[in-house]
Amino acid sequence: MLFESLRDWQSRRRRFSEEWEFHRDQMAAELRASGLRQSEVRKIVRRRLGRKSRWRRAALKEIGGDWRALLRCYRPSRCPSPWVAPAWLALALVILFVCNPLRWQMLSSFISEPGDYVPIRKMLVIPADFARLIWGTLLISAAMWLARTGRGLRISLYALLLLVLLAALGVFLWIAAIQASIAIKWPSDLLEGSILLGFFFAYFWASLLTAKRWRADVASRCPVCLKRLRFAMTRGRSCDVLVHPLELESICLEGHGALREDYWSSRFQPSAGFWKDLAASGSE
Amino acid sequence: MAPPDQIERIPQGTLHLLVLRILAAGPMHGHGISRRLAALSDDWLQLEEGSLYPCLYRMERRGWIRSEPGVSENNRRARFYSLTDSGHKQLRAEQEGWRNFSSAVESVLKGA
Repeated sequence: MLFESLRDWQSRRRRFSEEWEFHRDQMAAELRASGLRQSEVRKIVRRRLGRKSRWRRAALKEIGGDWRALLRCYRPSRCPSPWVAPAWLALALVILFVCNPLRWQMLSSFISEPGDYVPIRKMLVIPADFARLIWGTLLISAAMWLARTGRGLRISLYALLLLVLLAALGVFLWIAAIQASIAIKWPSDLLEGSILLGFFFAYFWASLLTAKRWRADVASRCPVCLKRLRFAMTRGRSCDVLVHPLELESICLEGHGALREDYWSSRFQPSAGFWKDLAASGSE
Repeated sequence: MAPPDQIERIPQGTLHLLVLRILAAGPMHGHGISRRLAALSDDWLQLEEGSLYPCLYRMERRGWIRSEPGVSENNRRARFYSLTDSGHKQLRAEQEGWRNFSSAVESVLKGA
């Protein structure tokens, strides 16, 4: 599923090349049939058809075969596959590790136990307890939330995988930021201290916001196929809180069920495949 | 055939109209479209033929034409383009627009 978009994109790129080659060969064959020499044929074909690189770019842009289109395909919010987000996070981790000149220090700081490190200026191990504490707390809270909501083992494992990757990326980013702050020659200790303090607060808030987004993302996925639920519509009446309270209903496009969220709770109602029911009622 | 100094480049914005008109006769591949365009204009109108493909893809994206794989007259795999219902409507609208435009230019030329 993850590679479907890539295959589709590659076929769009191939399509232009195949059409171009067909056009060029047909034209060359016609010119050769009129008695022209090979060198003349090549020259005329190049003049009449134009430069391939020039038209290729414009054509691929129109057909959705350019690099921008590929990136668009793999935007987690756009791609139906649930594995795009973990793949992006894993890729970000690899990039962060590979591009870091002090990558082994990053790794040893990542796996070192609290208290193992020596003073920061010796540049051996970067203290990452603050980041680990935040992400550890978030992981425990998330596990408790998943256990309480009871939406199924598959979605819980997926959600935990996503959060573990986020946590690893968060700790890596923390270590990279501290490495950068050590490498910079600060004009004064006050400035360095103020910026680090600001960074601590920003990191804290960014971690909380990320966890909030993660929770919203997990809540809006089908527990069976892990794809995002779509076609949200409101039901009930805002003035009738007791009998018909206002609720938001989103459905799984694969027909696995519907999520109903109201002010107090959210529950997923599994279905045996409502597309089948719909098709059966349509054929009657 | 037009002498080389009298060959006209296709004015910007009219390629859609010409391609739609050619495809109204039936499905055709990219090379066929450019050959037909040259034949119908007696080689007066020429385009850099590579520019046809961005134009065809744009028209396909807008839903005016559709493309299907097929086999050419010399047994090669090719992609054939044909007009959709929306393309027929677009052709009528563009023909109307072009006629209005050319009659407006004509009346200015006559009056000057």
